Amino acid sequence: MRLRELWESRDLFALLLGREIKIRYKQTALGVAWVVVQPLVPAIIIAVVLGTFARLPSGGSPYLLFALSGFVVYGLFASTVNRAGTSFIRDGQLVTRIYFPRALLPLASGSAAIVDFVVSFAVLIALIFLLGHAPTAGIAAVPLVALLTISLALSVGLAIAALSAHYRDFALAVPFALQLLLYASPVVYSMELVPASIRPLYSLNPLVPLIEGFRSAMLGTPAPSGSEVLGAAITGAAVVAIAILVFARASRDLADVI
Amino acid sequence: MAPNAISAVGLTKRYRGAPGSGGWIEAVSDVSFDLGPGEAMGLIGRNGAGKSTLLRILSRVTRPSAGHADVYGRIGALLEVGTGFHPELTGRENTYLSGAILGMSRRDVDTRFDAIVAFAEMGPFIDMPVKHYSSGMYARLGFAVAAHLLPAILIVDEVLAVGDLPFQAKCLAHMHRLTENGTSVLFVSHNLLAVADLCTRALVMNGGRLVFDGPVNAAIADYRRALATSDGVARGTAPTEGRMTINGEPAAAAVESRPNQSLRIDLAADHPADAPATALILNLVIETSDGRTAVHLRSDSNGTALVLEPGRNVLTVVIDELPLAPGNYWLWLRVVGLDPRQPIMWDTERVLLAVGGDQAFESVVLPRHHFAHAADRAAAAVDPDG
Repeated sequence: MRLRELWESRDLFALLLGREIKIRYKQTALGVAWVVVQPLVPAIIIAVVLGTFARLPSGGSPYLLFALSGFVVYGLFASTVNRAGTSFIRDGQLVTRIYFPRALLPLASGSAAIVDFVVSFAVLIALIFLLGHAPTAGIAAVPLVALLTISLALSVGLAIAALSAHYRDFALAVPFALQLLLYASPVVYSMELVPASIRPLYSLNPLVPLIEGFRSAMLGTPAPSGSEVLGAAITGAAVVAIAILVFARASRDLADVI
Repeated sequence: MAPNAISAVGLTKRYRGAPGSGGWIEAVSDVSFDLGPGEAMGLIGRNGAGKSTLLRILSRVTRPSAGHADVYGRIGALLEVGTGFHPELTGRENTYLSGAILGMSRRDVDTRFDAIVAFAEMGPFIDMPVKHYSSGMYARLGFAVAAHLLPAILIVDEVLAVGDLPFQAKCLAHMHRLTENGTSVLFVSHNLLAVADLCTRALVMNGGRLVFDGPVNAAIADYRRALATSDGVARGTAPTEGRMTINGEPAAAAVESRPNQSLRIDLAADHPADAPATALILNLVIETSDGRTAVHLRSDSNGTALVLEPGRNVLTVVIDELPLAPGNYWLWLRVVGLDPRQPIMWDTERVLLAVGGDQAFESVVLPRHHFAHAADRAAAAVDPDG
């Protein structure tokens, strides 16, 4: 029933998505260049500090590519959660004035992060060739990794969007939580550095095999193990289910609380 | 029998009161009504009477705390002008966006796009970001999008007030056409004459409750009576009691007339027996729905000296022919006492003067007239050159 309502509103989804993308870089001088700069600059800094100074291991790849591939996946997740999670607060006026399937707004806002992902992915491929490497055949798995990442992020974003309509604390906590997640995921450092004793716990983070899998597909670093994938799949599915339930409950009287 | 467009039963909406008070505020209390297909119904009441909350329940923005509303057919709700407009996007982009938010598919907007732009009188501005629009242009485009939604039920909150007068008239005419094509309209406005122009029936809300449901003129009269008794604003000192009769009938809140009918208004005023005789001026004012004065007659302008004597007085103004165009007007008398020791300035209740007629003319006056035509075939056949 509600899925059908969402499907019937696909034109609105497309327009909200287009709006989100268009307004992001309107009245900016650099425009789309920002999309390139955002993942590239932190990746360069990390490569210099951790790769050159600290000489941390990077699975045999140049540290710049290693870090950038991590930031591409993490960035997709973080940007989607951030945009989806703040969508009701940013567009509260829309929610209080007109009825439309409420989930559309966070879904469309969050999905706009795909643009950033595609651009930073292109930058990564360009850099791989520039540094004299070539992506592996595993690149075919990239759409799957991206799809899983964005599905996970959209679910979390939906829950945060609805909760932050009630309590703004949730919106304020998002950047903080995403920062913690950055350090709890193998973005800037390699899995090799994680002590074997805490690996099972560490691998409950559903981003772990997504980042590892993406990196393996692009750079030929070791692929995540089967047990890592299984553990993350279970927690990932649980996160999605809980997030959707939370959204369904917390989005019922949105217009009254926003 | 055709089913209702809206059938509302016991609608109630409670909001939690101030933190710590533990109480609930009932914005809408037990409201029930039916809206028929093709019916135009007004919803009037003071600010805070619960009108907007009721509209929000009907348009599914918010859920009722109790009761339910059955809605048959697609609702187009215009609770603000330019729903979903984003200032950075152009008029064209916003038209598609707002159309989709209001419930149109992309294809719907495609086919109606030219009509929307023409209705809004946008011209080349349609490709300019709406942040550069004047508030009037913004309102015109916002209403134009919603007006072309072609819903089964159109819900319009006080949104016309932002446009200029010709555009308001155009919107009202458009909504009128929609009702003729079977669209039901629920219209909220503080412009009571606009409500009277568009609607046949009206609901009056007060303090969250439905206090009147009936013919529009009676509803407006009820609302105005409630206003007069509740707002406690003294309308000048009135040393006399005045009772107005119109065409021999005690003045009801609404009077019906037709163009070029005669109008006789008597004001019976009791002046205290011990009060001195007071010279006064009687004014008759008739105002149009947009607040323009259509008629203003003063008793002293043709040299008539009126004096209020102790005891019973009857002041009369007779208009032999009132050439008002069909429409709704406010009519009232103003009594101005000229005694400097005891100045009087007193208005009677405003009476709704509904001038009947088929056509809605732009003109305020409709004098008796006819058009004629004469032709001379021979005169035109003469060749000027030869």
